[in-house]
Amino acid sequence: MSFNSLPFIVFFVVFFFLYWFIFHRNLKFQNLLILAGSYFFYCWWDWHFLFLLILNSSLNYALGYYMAKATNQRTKSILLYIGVLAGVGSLVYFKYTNFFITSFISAFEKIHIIINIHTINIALPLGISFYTFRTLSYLFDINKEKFKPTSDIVVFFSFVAFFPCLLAGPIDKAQTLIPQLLKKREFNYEKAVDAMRQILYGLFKKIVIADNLAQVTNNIFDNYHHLPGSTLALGVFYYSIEMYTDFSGYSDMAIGFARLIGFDITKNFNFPFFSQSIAEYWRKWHMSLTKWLTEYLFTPLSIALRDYGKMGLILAIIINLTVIGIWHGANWTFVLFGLLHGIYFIPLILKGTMNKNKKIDPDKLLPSFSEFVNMLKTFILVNFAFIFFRSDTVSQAFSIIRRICSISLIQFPQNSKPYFIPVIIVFLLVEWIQRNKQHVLQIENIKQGSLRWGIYFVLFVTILIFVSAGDQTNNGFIYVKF
Amino acid sequence: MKKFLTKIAAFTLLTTALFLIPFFYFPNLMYQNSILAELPDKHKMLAQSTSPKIIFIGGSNVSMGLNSEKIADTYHLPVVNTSIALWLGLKFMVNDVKPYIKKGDIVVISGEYNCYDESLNEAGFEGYEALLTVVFNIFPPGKSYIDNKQWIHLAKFIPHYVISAIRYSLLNNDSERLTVESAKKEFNKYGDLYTHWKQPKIPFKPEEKCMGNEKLNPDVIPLLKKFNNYVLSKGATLVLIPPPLQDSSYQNQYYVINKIESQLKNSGLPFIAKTSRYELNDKYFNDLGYHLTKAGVDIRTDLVIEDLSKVITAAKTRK
Repeated sequence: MSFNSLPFIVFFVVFFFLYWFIFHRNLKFQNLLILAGSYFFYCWWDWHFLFLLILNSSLNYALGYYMAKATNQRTKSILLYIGVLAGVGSLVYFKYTNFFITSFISAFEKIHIIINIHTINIALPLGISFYTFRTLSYLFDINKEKFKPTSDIVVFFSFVAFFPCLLAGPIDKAQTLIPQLLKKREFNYEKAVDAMRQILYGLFKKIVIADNLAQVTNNIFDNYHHLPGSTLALGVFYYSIEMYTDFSGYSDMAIGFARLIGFDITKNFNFPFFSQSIAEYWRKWHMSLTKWLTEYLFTPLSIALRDYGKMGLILAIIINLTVIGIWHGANWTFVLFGLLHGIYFIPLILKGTMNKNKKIDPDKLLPSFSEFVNMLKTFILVNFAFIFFRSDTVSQAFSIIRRICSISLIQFPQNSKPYFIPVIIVFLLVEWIQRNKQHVLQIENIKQGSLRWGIYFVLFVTILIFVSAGDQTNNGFIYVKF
Repeated sequence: MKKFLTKIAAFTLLTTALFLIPFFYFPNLMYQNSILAELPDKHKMLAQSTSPKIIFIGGSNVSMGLNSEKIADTYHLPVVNTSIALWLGLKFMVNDVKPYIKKGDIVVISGEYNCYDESLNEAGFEGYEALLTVVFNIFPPGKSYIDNKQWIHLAKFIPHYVISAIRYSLLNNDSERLTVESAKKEFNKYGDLYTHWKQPKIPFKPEEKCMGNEKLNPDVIPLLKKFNNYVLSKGATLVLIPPPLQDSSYQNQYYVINKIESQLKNSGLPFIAKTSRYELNDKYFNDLGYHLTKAGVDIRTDLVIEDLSKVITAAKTRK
């Protein structure tokens, strides 16, 4: 039941009416409905791992409850360790066991020792990376007394399973979501209209741009052996746009659906392709994950390593970015993706410009030449790292890089549907013009209602036509796999 | 809330009207380029054939992959190949032949594996946009056996159907507008699509997967069981045989295919051959993992003749 599917629309319409018309007088009932709806949503995808979600919620609820009651820090720390061990342990087991086994086998194979161990048939529970991080942040914040745990079990379970963010984020902290779950929600017309706009734009990005680009990029990456460097370079560029439109489209929809039921959840993207440095890019790309890791991994690490000066900071950044990489999946390609981004930070750290935000004047129609060059440099670096992200193996990634760096880069690209290029340029231009808004469809400055409606209408009709003309494959969201 | 809901309703109504008005107004002439135009003739063939006869049902693997004349000569029975394309969906294909099934008939279903699929939006089972074209332009009585679930499924194709209908209605380029006659000329008197037999092969990639989530559509077995009961009630015989599949496509999907095979067999349906029997060398395929060349058609036809021999003997004995 993907956000872009008919079953979800039916589910959400029913949910919306029950939520605002039947259960609106009683907060407890509304929260119960959120919990029931979230579990129903999860089971529609895969009911097999619902027990794990409930187990995770139960354990963390209990740990949070007893941590708050604990009178000494030692007990608190023990309870925290149990939570971290259980959370990280389940993540490692479900996500990385086979990765460790295969890496272990191939390491020994390199020295001609054959180890007779087999991989295990483990299915990855949906959303585990997201809800585990949510519950971990809950425990960390209780431990640091930044947040008092809730005793309302329905509220806590709803926080963990909140369906708009359950499968692919944004990764909201307890401080963001739990207070909203404890407070009576009122329907707000302005918010609801804005939410609809954001959902519409998210759908447009996913269905019209990402899904169409996916067909080209899949073809290019599947046949990289036979294609010239120019096609591969274009494929990498397309993939960057596909990733952005797919994931930010999902996040827009998640935020929109949450707003329709009265919740404000964390923004996940802030026009990252207009960043002037890699540090700025990571402040604007998958923001909820970056913030989470900055708070709970990077900051403690950089404090621990502060005696080593810039080297300590570099190490902390590299570890942080490598964790971001491997969080995406059990493959060396993701490790290298993260590592590469970590390496990109080194010049910024050495120059002392990592935390400097070169803001572009919001009223400027066009960037200055140097701003444009900075954006372009950052974009190229990001694109380069995406080669590792998209490749199935490290050798495939290097093979693609070799081809891109060959003379075939100047050949005319093949099978790459070049008509996407003007479409992407127009898309990026619109994003640039609206870069100071929360999302692109915040167009209330257009005074003529008919023009606004015309824009919504054109977008919606385009979405319907593309849905209708699709190749009938289920175009799932990329990040749901993580 | 009232204002919000009113606006949403207005927006939805406006969009629905935008598509529904041209949907009912413009005929979709796109079918004139298509083999779909053959459907009424296939009905005529069924109506004119005497029983006992052999009826073949399936997607393009059957329409493009069978030498019905050879089967007719072998068994001295009339053969009607009712197949056109997977686009019509297994549900429609099965319901479409029901009125013509008579005592002693042998009904053979050879659906592509996508027909049994739960994912891929169930289109191989419920039908694609082509089915809308068929029931609104070519064979309107077909609407009567489309159920509500199928209508809901087909509704999502309306926007694209409308765009192509408008495009073809407004297009005045004669070269784009082939006649129904030219589309029909591609079939022989048994209903086999044969013009590609003489055409050169077109390079293609093997099929990666026939089923997105490796799950059998839960509606498939009930539909086929119901159909089997109907066939038996008419004194006829139903058999299911696997479609021919290119070796490398088969290898990519053998796990799922074996699963389908065992599920169909375990349900008690007369699935009479092993799927691997119809796994043929890549060289016998024309432009898709299911589309046979002439040499492939001959091999497949011989396999079908062998597989049907027991069934036909049994049917004759019963008679």
